[in-house]
Amino acid sequence: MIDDNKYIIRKATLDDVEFIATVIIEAEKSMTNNFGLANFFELSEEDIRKYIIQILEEEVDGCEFSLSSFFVAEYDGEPVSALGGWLEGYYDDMPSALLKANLVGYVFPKGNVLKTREKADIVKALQIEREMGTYQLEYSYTRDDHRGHRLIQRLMMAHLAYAKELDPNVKKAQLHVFENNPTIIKVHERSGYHIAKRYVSDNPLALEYYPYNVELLMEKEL
Amino acid sequence: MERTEIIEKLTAVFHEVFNDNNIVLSDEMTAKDVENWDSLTHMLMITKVEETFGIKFKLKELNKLKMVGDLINTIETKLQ
Repeated sequence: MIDDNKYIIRKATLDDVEFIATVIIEAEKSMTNNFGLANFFELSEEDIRKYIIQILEEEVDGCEFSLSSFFVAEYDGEPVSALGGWLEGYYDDMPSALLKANLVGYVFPKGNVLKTREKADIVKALQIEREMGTYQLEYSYTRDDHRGHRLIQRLMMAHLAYAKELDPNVKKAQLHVFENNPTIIKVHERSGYHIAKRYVSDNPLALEYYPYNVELLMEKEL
Repeated sequence: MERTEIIEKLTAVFHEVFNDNNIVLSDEMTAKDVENWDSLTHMLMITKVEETFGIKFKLKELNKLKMVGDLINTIETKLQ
């Protein structure tokens, strides 16, 4: 029997790297069996996991592949849920997209990076530019045996309190969700988020790299 | 390699990666100034720069590149 009072919400540490890699992979799949990142780089899930762990261990701050971006829910000493988030442009005004690109380009095999060239047009429609000065939330996952305990909401509260610590004037939190996941959309709506923009890809090949062809930008005033 | 030669080779990389032969590099240029400069093309551009100049950036160097001028300076330093 799970005791809700035993959950501890804290920042991720190097000891959580394996779990955070799982969080990123499962969130990328977004409740499907389609692991777009592996298809995109023509690598196995096992390889992607290995490279994501290397990336997280680099400890670069300010993007979705930063270990420091994650809050974790711990139960009996084990991480069971996590959510990533960061203040866009907080570190030297560097867009998180470029920090992420630097990390991936640095760690992933060059040959596989260069192979993505021909896919650029396919994924372009679903690449959402992040707004400077907003708090970005990305990648959430809860282990099956700990679902239904509102852990993502608790992690989100921890993130938004942290956002105000970093910048008391931060005005907005944003997140991206695929439209094929109505449950999580409803969870976010209940937390005060609304759909700000809908991004649609008409290219059928996009489904090889994304879980769905419609991605929503949701946001909330802080 | 002279700075002018670096800029010439870098311009060719930009034209190819960003698919725009009208790009004219300047020291102050940033990702905001170039259409299609996103995470994917940035990653490709850096990889092509390393290939073109036969260099390998450190992650710390990459994360300090805010403007094209920073990129040119870093390439210049690494080639010395």
